[in-house]
Formats: sequence, C-alpha cells, structure tokens
Amino acid sequence: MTTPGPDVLGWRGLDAFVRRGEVWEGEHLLATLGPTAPPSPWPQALAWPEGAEGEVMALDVETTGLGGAGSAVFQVGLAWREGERVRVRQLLAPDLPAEGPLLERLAALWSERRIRLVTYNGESFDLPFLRARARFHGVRLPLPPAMDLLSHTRRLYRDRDGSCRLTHLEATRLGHPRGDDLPGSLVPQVYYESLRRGDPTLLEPVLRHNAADLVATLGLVWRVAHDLAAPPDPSRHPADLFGLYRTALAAGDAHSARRALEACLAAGPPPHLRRLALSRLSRLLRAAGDADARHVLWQAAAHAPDAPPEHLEAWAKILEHERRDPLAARAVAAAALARLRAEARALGTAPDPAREQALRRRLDRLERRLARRSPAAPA
Amino acid sequence: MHLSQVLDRLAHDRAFGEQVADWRVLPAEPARRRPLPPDLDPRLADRLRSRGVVDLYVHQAEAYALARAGHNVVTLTPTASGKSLGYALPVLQTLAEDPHARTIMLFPTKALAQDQLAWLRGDLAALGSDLAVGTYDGDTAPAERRRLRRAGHIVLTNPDMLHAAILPHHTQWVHLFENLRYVVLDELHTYRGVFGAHVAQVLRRLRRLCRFYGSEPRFLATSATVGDAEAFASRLFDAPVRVVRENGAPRGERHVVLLRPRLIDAHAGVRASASALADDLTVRLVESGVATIVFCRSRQSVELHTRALKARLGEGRVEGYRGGYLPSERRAIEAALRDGSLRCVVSTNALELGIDIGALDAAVVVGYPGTVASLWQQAGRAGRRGEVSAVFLVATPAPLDQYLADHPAYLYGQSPEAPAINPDNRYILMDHLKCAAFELPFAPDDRFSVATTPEMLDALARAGILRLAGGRYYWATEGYPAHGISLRSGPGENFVVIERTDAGPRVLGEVDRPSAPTLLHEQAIYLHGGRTYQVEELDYPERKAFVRAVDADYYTEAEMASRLDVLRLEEELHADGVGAALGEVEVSFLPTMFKKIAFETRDNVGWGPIHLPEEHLPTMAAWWTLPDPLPGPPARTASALAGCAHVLSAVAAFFLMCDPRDLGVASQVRDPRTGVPTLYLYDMTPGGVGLAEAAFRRGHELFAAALERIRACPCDAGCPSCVGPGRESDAKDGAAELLTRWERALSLARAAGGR
Repeated sequence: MTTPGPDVLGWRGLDAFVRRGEVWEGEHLLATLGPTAPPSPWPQALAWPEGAEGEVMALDVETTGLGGAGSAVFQVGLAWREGERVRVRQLLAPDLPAEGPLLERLAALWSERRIRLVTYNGESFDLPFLRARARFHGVRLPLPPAMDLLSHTRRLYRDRDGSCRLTHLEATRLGHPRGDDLPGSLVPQVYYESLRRGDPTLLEPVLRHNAADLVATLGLVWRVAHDLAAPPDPSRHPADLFGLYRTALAAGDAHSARRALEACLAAGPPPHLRRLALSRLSRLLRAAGDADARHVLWQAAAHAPDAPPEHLEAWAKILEHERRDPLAARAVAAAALARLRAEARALGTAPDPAREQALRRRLDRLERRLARRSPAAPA
Repeated sequence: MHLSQVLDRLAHDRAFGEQVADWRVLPAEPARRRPLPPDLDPRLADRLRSRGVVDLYVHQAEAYALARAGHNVVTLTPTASGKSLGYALPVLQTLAEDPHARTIMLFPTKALAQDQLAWLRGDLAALGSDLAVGTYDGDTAPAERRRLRRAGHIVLTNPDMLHAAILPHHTQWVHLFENLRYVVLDELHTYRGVFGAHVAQVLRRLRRLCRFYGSEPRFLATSATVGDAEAFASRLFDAPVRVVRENGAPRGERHVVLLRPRLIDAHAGVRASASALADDLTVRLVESGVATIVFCRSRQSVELHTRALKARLGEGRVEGYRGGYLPSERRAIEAALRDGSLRCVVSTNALELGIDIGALDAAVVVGYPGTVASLWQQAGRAGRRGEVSAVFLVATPAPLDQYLADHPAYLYGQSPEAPAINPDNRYILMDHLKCAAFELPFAPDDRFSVATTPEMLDALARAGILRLAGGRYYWATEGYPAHGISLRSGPGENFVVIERTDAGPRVLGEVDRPSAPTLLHEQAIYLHGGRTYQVEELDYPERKAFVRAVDADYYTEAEMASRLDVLRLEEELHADGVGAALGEVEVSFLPTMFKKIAFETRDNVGWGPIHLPEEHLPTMAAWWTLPDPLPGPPARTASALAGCAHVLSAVAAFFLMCDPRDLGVASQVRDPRTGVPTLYLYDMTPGGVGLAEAAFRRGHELFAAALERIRACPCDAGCPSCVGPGRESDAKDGAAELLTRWERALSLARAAGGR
C-alpha cells in the first residue's frame, strides 16, 4: 500500500520545471486518493454541462489577490488520471509580466484535446478570474465545459461534515488528512515575497498546495459520483442519505428525493435530522398529492415512543382538518401538550409559551366543536 | 400672509430699511427657446413632446449642438434651468444611433443621481426596451449591480464609487469601457479643492483605461456660474472645453435683499449683531406664515441660531440640520419639511444640494456662504415654480461679507470667483498612481499627465509597493489601494462623539479630523441640537471624544499657535523692491488654550489650557515681501501686517472660491528667511490644492481688493470688518500703506510681464 497524496512518488521540484519563454512548466506523477474504480456510467445528478465529454481534468489557479484588476493569476494547475496515478501539470509565471504568456500557454494546452473541467469553487472564483485576466491581456481563451464540485459536496456532505472545505473533505471522505500545507490565504504574500527576494524556490509550498488540491479534487469527483450512483440503502449514514435527497431535489428528481428521505428515516437518524427529514418528506408527499402516504407517515411518527410534541401536533392537525376526526385530534393534541410540558420539566425550564398557547387554543377549539355535536352523532 | 405682503411691509419699515444695503428685484423672465434639433431621432422627439417638451431652451440647444460636434462642453446656468436635458439629449441621441454606446454620469451626491433616474429611464425606454439605466452606488443591490455591469447603457454614479468600485474592477465593465462615449459631470464647480484634486486623478485613471480599451469619451458638464470655467474644466479634464453661458430658462420674480446691520459705533466700526438681525427677520417671516430656511456658515452657528429661534418660536416649530447629526434624525427633518409640518429649518450647506425638502418661500442666509455660486444655490431652496421668492443675505462683520456689501454688483455681473484646482498635489497624485498601477501596469511612456511620473513610480517601486518588471511597473502588494483612499475627508477620518449617560454611552455625532483639536479638546463645550455637552475625555489615537450633557451658559473657542518654515522655493518675481514668491512650506500647529464665551453677552468669561500634540502640515504657500518696515517701532509694522493678512485672506477666499478656513495666513516683520516684512498665505490641505498658486498668480487683484475693503470701511482705526480687532491705533493706515506698496508694485510687474 502506498500512502496516497502528492508527497510520495514523482514529485519534481522547481529545478525540473521547463522554461518556455517567460512561463515555467512542470509535471508530476502522483498517487490517487479515494475510489480506485471509475464511475460507470457518470450519474445523471452530477450534471455535466450539455455536450461535455472527453478527459476529466481538474483545474485550480493561484492568484495574487481575491479580485480587482490588480490581482493576477500566477499559477495554473491541471490534473487528470493516468491509470492508477494522477498526472499534474503546473504552469507558473515566476514574475508578473509572464501572466499573459501563461494564459496563452493554457489556451494552447486546452486546444490539444477534448476535455471537461472539474473545479472546486471554480464557478465563483477560478473561471471568472481566468476569463477576466484573458480579456485583460487580449488572450483568446475558450473555457472548456466545466462542473463545479463544490455545489455537489455542499448538498451531499454538509449535513454530516459541516464544513465543505476541500481539505476537510479530503480528510473525512478520502481518508487523507492533509499534512503540512500552506493555507490558501497566505499564497499572495508568499508570491510577492518571492518577487521581492528574487527567489522562485519560495513558491515550492504554493506548488505543493496547488497539486494537493488538484489530487483531492480528482479523488473527490469520483467519490461524489460513486455516492450519487449507489442506491439509497438504509445501511448508509442517514446524513448522507439526506444529502442524496438535497441533490435529487436540486436536480428536480422528486422520485429519487422521496426514496432518499424514506431511506434516511429508515436509517435511524438523530432527532434533529429525523424532524427535518419528516417535514421534507411530508412536503414532497403533499406536492405529489399522496395524502394517504402522508397520513401514514405522520401517524407512524406520532406513535413512535419518543415522538416530539411537534410530531404529535402535526398528526393532530391532520386528524382535525383532513381526517375530520375531532375526537382523535383532541386526544393527540392533549398528548402533544403533555409531551411539551414533560420535555420542559425534564430540562428544568418552562415550556415555550407560544407553542404551549398554540396547542391550548387548538384543544379549546376542538372541545367547543365536540360540545356542539350531539353525543350520538357519528364521528 | 403671502410673501409679497410681507415684503411690502418690510419695504415700508424704516428700521428695517436702514439696514438694507441693496434690494434688487430680479424680474420674472420669459423663456428663450429654440426648436428641437432637426437631427433628433423621431422616437426621442415624440417622447419629449409627450412629456411637454416641444422645444429647447437656448442653452440646451447650444450644449446639444456642441456635444454633437464632438466637443467637451460645460454649461453654466443657475439651478432649476433644465440643464440636465442639455447633456442628456446628446447621450440619448447617440444611443438612438448606436445602441452599444455607453455613458457614465457622475453626481457629487447619491441624492442628485437618484433625482435624475426616473425621467432618464422614461426617455431611454422610448428608444428600446433593451436599453438600461441605473444608479450604481453603495445602496445598489447585488443583482442590479450585475445587470449594470453587464448591460448598463447609462450608469449614474458618483466619483467615490467610480474610484473605489468601478475603475479597480474594470475587467468586469469591459462593455462600458470599450464603448464609453460620454462622461457627464453635474455640479462641476463642486469638484474643486481637495475633492477636485482627487476627482482630477480619478478622471485621469478613467481616461487611461479608456485608451487601453480603445474608447475616447467626451466630457459633458454643468456648473454653477463661475469665473474662468474654461480653464478650470480643462484642467480637471486635461482637455480643451467649450463653454455655454447663455441661459434661456424662465424664472419667477425674486427679491434679493442684502442686509448690513446698523452701525452702533461708527468710529470703532462696531455694528449691531448680524445673528440678532437674522433671528428677528426669521421670526417675523415664520410668524407671518412664510416657510423659511436659514443657512449658517458653521455647525456651531446652526446650533446657536436653533437655540435662539426655539426660545422665540417654541420647541417643535424650528429644527437644526447639519452634518454630524445621525441619518435617522436628518431623514425625519427632511420629511417634516416636505409635508409642510415643519416651517423653519436652520442648516449648514448640508441642505444645499440634491436633498428633497420641497420648496420653501424665503431663505435667510446668515453670513456670505463663501461663494456666489453657493449663495445662489441656497437662494434656489426658496421659490416654488413661477412664484415670488426672496433671499436675505445678512452680512456679518467679516471682511468678506463687508466687501460684498460694498460690491453687491458682484452677485449679478461676471463672476470674479474662480474655482482653484491643483491636479498635481503630490500626496493625492501618489495615492492615485497606486490605484492606477493596480488597474493597469505602467508602461515606460505612460505619463499619467504629469512629467514627474517616472520619479514617482520609481519611489513607489523602491518602497516595494510597485514592482518594475519587463519594463513595466506592476502593483506588487497585497491589498487594494482604493480602499484606503477617500476622495473627501472620509468617515474613517472622523472623530466620534460619544455621550456618557446614566443609561450607558450613546453615539451623539461625528466631527471631522481637522476640526477635532479645536472642538473636542477636554473641557470644550460641544453643541448638538441646541444643547450643551462638555468633553470629559478625548481619546486622540482612537478618535473618540466622551462628552456629558451639561447646562452651560457659555461655549468655548480654541486658539492655536503656528510656525512656518519654507522648504523649497518654486517661483519668484521682484518689482520695485517688492517680492512675490511661491513654494513648499511646512506649518506646525499647537493648540494652546481655549476661551469661554457667554451665550448671552458674547463676553469672555474664562479660559483653560489644551494639551494636545503638535501637528505638522506640509503645503504650498505664496508670500510677499517689502523692502523695509514702516517707520517707527516694529510693533507698528507687525500690527499693520497682521491687519493686511486679515483682510487679504478674506478677499482671497472670495476670489479663489474657497472657504476662508481653507487658507492660512502668517506674517513677520523680520522674517527669518527673507529678513524683511513678509506676509504668507498658505493652503490648509497637505500638498496644497492650488489656492496658494492661484493667490500668487492673482496677487495684484487680491491686494487691490484688500486695499479697497480697507478704504471702504467706515471705521476710524480698524475693526473686525477690515484689519481685524485689537490692533495698534494706526493699524488701518499702516495696513493701507503696506497694501498700496504691494498693489502698485504687483500691478507694474503684471503690466511688464503681461506683454
């Protein structure tokens, strides 16, 4: 077993970079991260742009600032898989006047074959940045079709991971905690320092950081593809199943969204996620006009031994307004109120007055309605 | 009661009449018109007719023709003369012919831009639904910003926004820069002094980017009527301009009344209080039902008048309004004026431009506001369409006011005032060179309109801010230069005034940095909303002053000691033993003490020391020398020189169109540098904004005017209105003698040099 990541095989230092005029260019052959088998086929939900085909190439740029016409691109990294390895190609402008030639070189590389780009936050940062700089230098740089992985990881992983930073997911999803890495926010400072000192070797940490991001991006795109392609099985982590639901919802696939939520609920989610999944599934079922399934859903939720008061309340609402069963509704609403108070007692606080009042009003209304009825009338 | 009736009564009031220095009735004037231009697109012509514009005023027609012929144009006309159409028409016509064309319209305030938006939007819609116009400022929502960046045909913004948000992001505005045909500047005369020096740089940056993108926009501007507008505008634009002067707009009858409080003591030149006269008049107007705005020169005097008027008219019938009040407070006052529930407001020039308060009937201007243009703008706050309006200018004892009262014709004839601008202030230039390098690396032959560009770029490169590589200077520092540079005295520079109350601290207002040492030193009385607060603590490094409400019957006035050193002589001339020079100087200031002045009597009722660090001001100065002092003791010459300085700085402020506070003066009987009697006049802005230079060039006019003021003054031996108070008994004669010598020599030198 090799340790994955760029630190192992085939890392070539700056001295091995080729000088093409003002632009320096280097290549590394590195170990992959994440799944070893390609997704086959690519899942629909990954949403490559229309007509995107060809080699999947990761792109990551390093810049002298976050924006404005005075921020330049000084390094562009590209990476693609070659069998069990990742080929990383890096273009470097060792001084500011080389930015234009660097973009021209990039355009030449991209014109060699059909590719599709995958980026991490490229939609808001890398691609607009490249576009603006190319326009600034008058360089014709047609951008290949691109997919931004960040939008997918945000949907898929945020419920479990919280942060969707690349290095974080690299640790949690690809099993590779990033070691000694230059924080991205320091990149401009390091670049200007290398200019001031006239010492390009100071840029080695930037190049390593860039390569590590590229390897992680390529690993993550397969990870995401596999996670999207795998069936929504309750053996998976409930938060991941909820992530599947978010993805399906964004893709407008109501059927998959429902299956993902059902699997999530079956997987034994923690209380907060359970509440969220229930309300989302209920919303889906309402939109689908499937009242029966919705009633079954809430009935089951209300009868769970640890059902929170709002689930009881939701069921009470259905009983009152849809099932037209005030008697049962009153019993469930009363149980909800009792549960609300019991919860507060357990915590040593007072119940939320707004919720308590809402439940009391519901109960009063139901009492009045029941009192108006003759006792003999059928429910 | 109608305003005409009130005016009629005033005209028959003998006590009032004694104080009228000049009362002119500017008759209602009919419009002078020209037909719509024959080349105007029919869609545009139809649209104009549909909103009631069937022909143009002559100035609009001329501005249109000049713009169409490819000139840079400045239209000089009063407020409310429809000048906007003069610049909008060529812009719209160009869009009718070329839907790719782009225009930037700059307004000095957000409120003014907002004002133009609605009708421009309507006119533009007549040319096609895909043409977009919008305001781009701090309040613009992100989606609207994106829309304007992509496809804004007319972008209404302000110089600050252009500087900090548009130019540094020009790659997001490629369509705008590639197709920029016009840059419109409204209220051009406001771009003078510090603000003007900055705006000149911003325009240089703009033109530099336009060259990069291959466009060459023309400048279309409007301005209040000022002297030498052509020179001013062409310095601001770095390009020749054509000026439109003839005004064709109609106007209602306007009474302009110049009041000079009566002489109490003719020998000492003491007059009755201008403030009291203004307050009496205001009370009379407001109680007769005339909606009145009172304009004051300073924030302090806004507070004093508000306090006095509230006492006489009652709480709730009058409000103060000035910078330093919180925005919510100001919005409430504006709304009350618009809906008529408030009939009297006392304001600084904060209410001069753009803010919608509806129209009032009369304006009472306490003290000449510093420029004729500003006076007319304040007068313009009074007068509903076509109806009678009145403006009362109450002259204070200040020499400038008295000078104007001597020469009321200056208000009506060819304007003697000319805005000064120094586009080459090196501090300001250096700041904008950084911004320009950020926007586009400097090529070796790129001069940024200044011969010294290479040296300045070298200095920035040595400091590590820029980097010379491949023959070009690149921005080479983290950060974003425009963020640290405010075109005005920015909010970051202000001192915050915090009130300590039993309920905890609360922010009361703000004070600009230059005023802070004199207004916020410890124990100073700070006035806000007509109430008195005492400064308990001044945290100078943190720019915070902590005050507590007190019931004081006095206010405070601080005094400063200053010293001047000449650093470099730039230009000099000699005539008849008299010298005149221009150069770089450093002035050092040390606040020394404050006086307590009683509200009621204006008597000095005490004093205290001020402990603040010395401040240094590197700037430009003009100075004038005489071969020898007056006969007699040196104190005699010292007093005469101080008298000259007093009157000279006042008339200079008038001619150079600046605030008297923008100018500093100093004088020495035996100057350490020149060894002879010397009088200095300097810019109060670091690096100078062109005032000292203009004073140097117009020296003969300034000395002639100063001399005239002294001769016209009815006092015997000097008073606040001429040489100033507290001088030697013959200071007035002495000053007149010195001024005569200077004036004669400078006129000779000019006559000799002029040919």
